[in-house]
Amino acid sequence: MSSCGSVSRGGLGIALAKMAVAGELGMEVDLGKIPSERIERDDQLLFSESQSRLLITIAPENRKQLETLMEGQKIAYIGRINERRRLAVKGIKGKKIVDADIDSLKEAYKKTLQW
Amino acid sequence: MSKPKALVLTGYGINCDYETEFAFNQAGARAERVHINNLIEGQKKLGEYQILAFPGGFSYGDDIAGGKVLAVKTKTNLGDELRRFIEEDKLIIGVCNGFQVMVKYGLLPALNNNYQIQTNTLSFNDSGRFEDRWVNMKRMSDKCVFTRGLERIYLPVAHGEGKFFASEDTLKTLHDNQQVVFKYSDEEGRPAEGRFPFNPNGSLKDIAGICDASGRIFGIMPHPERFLHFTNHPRWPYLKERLKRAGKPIPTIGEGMKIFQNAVEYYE
Repeated sequence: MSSCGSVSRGGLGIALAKMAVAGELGMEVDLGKIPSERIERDDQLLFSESQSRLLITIAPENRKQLETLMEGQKIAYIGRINERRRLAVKGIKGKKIVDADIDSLKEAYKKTLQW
Repeated sequence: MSKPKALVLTGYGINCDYETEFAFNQAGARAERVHINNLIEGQKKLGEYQILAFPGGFSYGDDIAGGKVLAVKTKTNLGDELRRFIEEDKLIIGVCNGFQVMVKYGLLPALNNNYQIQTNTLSFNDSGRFEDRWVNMKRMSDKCVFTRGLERIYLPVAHGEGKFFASEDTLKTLHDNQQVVFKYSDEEGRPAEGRFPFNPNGSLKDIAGICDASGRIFGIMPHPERFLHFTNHPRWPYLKERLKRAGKPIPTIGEGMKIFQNAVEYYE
């Protein structure tokens, strides 16, 4: 496992952004791949604060091992890490809804208490 | 030689004594926390130790000015013992509030080998507030015993009064004598040149730590005892992953440990 964070305050959108910022790497995420029921809005998927969810990154070759560990739990591969230092998110209908530079994400995250 | 004995001063608001004791023990010394009153009343003798540490904290609640009261108390009650300690080729380190104590006592920078007169100060941060953050430093001199082998170091500061201030003449003398040990820098080791947050307090000439003319007496504002293990680093999981992917070994000790090891090695 390369990184792991809880999906809590701010929901998945914030968890993804924080993880990209912390790793200084880019991400491509497809909201259509997130396990959900009766949700048709991108903002609900991005910012729902439903508990007991973890966001994990792994190297592709560790996939089998993770699946063994998580047997019986609901897991889904929702995106890929890249070297581009941008967080790109595709909405349920396949439209690009986020494409942000991680430095601007970091600035937005830190600026309130940046003194 | 057997393990050097380190006296870690405690009492009246000193609060980094346990970590400092741990650091010296990890580095191979025999460290002991000693209450200042036990020194003053003679239950413990300074002369039986090889290393003296003034740890960080808020001695006497920073009343009057950070370190001032402890400096006066130490000088008034232990001045003779301390003078002998310095003459005997021993080591003294002060961290954060301990550095403030040493400066206000006159132990640092001790120009012209006068260890009695205060010649500079550590005053309120330019930001006007307590700064708690990690900073980069670059070593500027190879004179100091404690910093041998360290070119750069990354440590946390936690102080409200860390701005190094001295007259132009004193600053020049400190540089000429190679007594400026560490200066604040950016991540690449370039001089901070006063830029916040690289220089966290507005210290003149980015000064973070100085030593006396012998290099055996050392004061530093950032806390080496807070980076003794690799996982003390604020971004250690990231670094660990980077090192792993680069096929490099993952260190166990932190960058601050070297300062304590150097003190122990001085006696080997």
